[in-house]
Amino acid sequence: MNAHEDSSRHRRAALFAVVCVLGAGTGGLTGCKQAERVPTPGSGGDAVTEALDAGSAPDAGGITLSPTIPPDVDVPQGNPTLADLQHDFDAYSWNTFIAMNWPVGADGGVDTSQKPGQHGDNPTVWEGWMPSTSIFLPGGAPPPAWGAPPILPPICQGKLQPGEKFLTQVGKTPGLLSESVQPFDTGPLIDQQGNYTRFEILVNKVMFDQIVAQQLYSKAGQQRFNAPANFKCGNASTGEQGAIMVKAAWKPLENPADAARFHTATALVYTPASENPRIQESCTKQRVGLVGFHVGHKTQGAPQWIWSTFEHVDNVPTEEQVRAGTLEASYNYYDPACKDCVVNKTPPRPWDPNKKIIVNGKVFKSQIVRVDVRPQLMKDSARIHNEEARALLAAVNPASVWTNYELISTQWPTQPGDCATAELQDGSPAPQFLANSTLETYIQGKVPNVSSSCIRCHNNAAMTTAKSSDFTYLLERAQ
Amino acid sequence: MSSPPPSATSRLEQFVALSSALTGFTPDVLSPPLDPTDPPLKQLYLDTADRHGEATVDALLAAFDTLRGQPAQTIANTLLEVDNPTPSATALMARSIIKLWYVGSWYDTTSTSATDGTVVSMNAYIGGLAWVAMQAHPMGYSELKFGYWNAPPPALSGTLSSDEANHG
Repeated sequence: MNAHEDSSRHRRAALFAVVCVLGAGTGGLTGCKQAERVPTPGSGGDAVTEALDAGSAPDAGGITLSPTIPPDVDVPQGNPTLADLQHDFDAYSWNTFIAMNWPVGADGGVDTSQKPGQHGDNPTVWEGWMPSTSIFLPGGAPPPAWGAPPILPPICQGKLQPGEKFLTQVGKTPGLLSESVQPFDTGPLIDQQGNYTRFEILVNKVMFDQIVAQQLYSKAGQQRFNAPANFKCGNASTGEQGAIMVKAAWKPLENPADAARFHTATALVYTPASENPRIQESCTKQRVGLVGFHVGHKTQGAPQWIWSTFEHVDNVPTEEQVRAGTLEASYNYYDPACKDCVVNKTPPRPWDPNKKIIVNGKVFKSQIVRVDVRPQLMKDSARIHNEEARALLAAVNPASVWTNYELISTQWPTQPGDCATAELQDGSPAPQFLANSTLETYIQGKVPNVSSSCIRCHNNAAMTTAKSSDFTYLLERAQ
Repeated sequence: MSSPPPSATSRLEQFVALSSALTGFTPDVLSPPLDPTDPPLKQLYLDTADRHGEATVDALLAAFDTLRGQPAQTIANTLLEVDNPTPSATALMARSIIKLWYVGSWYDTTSTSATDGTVVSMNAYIGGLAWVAMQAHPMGYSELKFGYWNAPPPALSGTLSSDEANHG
């Protein structure tokens, strides 16, 4: 019995429901199966009932409109195959996306009176989580309390209004600004208007509380801890979330009309000063649109974390689409009209986010294509779940911005091991490679140890003490 | 009347069982129940061997079938014709299959050189059993945690067939 069967067996003790899906619109996921749902606080356990009542129940392990973040993957099959499990993990990913992007009220709490995109766009749950820039502070200072406003550099102070976010910028400043170089130190990502893409990393309260309790936010605290990190796992039996990290990529929206297709936010965008290259410190307010969304959740069934990666549908074409000439009119990071643009190439230096890069009199734009190395079963699973999720979200509101996001895939461990064990090995992740074109832009491909693989890369993460940091690079930022 | 040819799946399973006997590693190591490698190494290796002599592979599988139930070491010694100074084509194929699993390279069945192998894929290189047997990892690739060099290497237990494990 493998670990997935084991975890599935435990979950089998939870609530059972028989879900017969006879209608169309579920991307082929039809049939009559036994579905398991774990009763969780809030409406997670009610989701199936609601869906049944509405006559739109998804397949077993399918997608539901629920504000409850799944505590773990749901594996209803008795002896699941690789394809079964990919299906289950992709359904988990969409359920996580929906719950994390559920509307919140003025107090920041989940607003169960609304559904995602009911009014087009909405403020979301995860945007109220703690940004990494407020956790790993100069001198190893303790972070502020959960929910405190972002800690701003002097140039930004007094400019941030409630509901706005703080994004840092591409630059040489180390430490707390390092998520600005997410496409992997090989260069920034520049959109079709010539603007730099911005990045942020946030953690949920479970992860934040553990970092604070174990004083992992500082070098001194990590030395006192003197052990490998071992974050809490999500648990389907109790319904408790595990540690969750989210990485988000945002592009500035120069044209207000573009906002209709994006989840948007107003952000203070900070550019730190730099000597080489010479960059002037700045702090400007911009309207930005979400283009990349990457979630890692540590769970009992996947103690190497479950890695779900989503993108805006307008981001990039695939290599195959480029070869076939089946291109859309425009993309966020690809110009179909440019015949001599070199693809997946880093921008020419110097990189000054305050200025657009000019090459031969023209504004430089990144020309990015997706190097799609997913095995066919992963492509099929993502497509089926994207269709299913899109149908659910469009049923709420055909103009919902959330219908413009797609799951690229979910990476998960095929040999997970035990959550209680620190320093687990990588668990042989599936798919072997996975990249988000906004976050791992320049390391797409299928070269082992070189091309993007969430788990294999994060397996190398360590604290400042050189002890394992449990698949997160955040802890190495401690000062 | 000759029996019908085995189905593709059963031939692949047979190849895994044969490979287990030849290499000393358990079938689960050679063919994990959930294998994310695309294509799985077992399929890649069978296809590679077939390209260099499908009829010889069939003969080797048939010979293996007659030895089922015997200790792995006996099967390996018989198929490799260890006491034969002029081994048959099937024995030479068995040797090439062993090399393929251990170093991820195809050596022609008539080759006696250590340097004329061809790495069949990047996954074959990192998946070579030699790395596991040495309790090491390929150059430029490690699935172990940062700082692994400060601790004993992972145990081999659980990866070897019972025969091999008993022989230490």
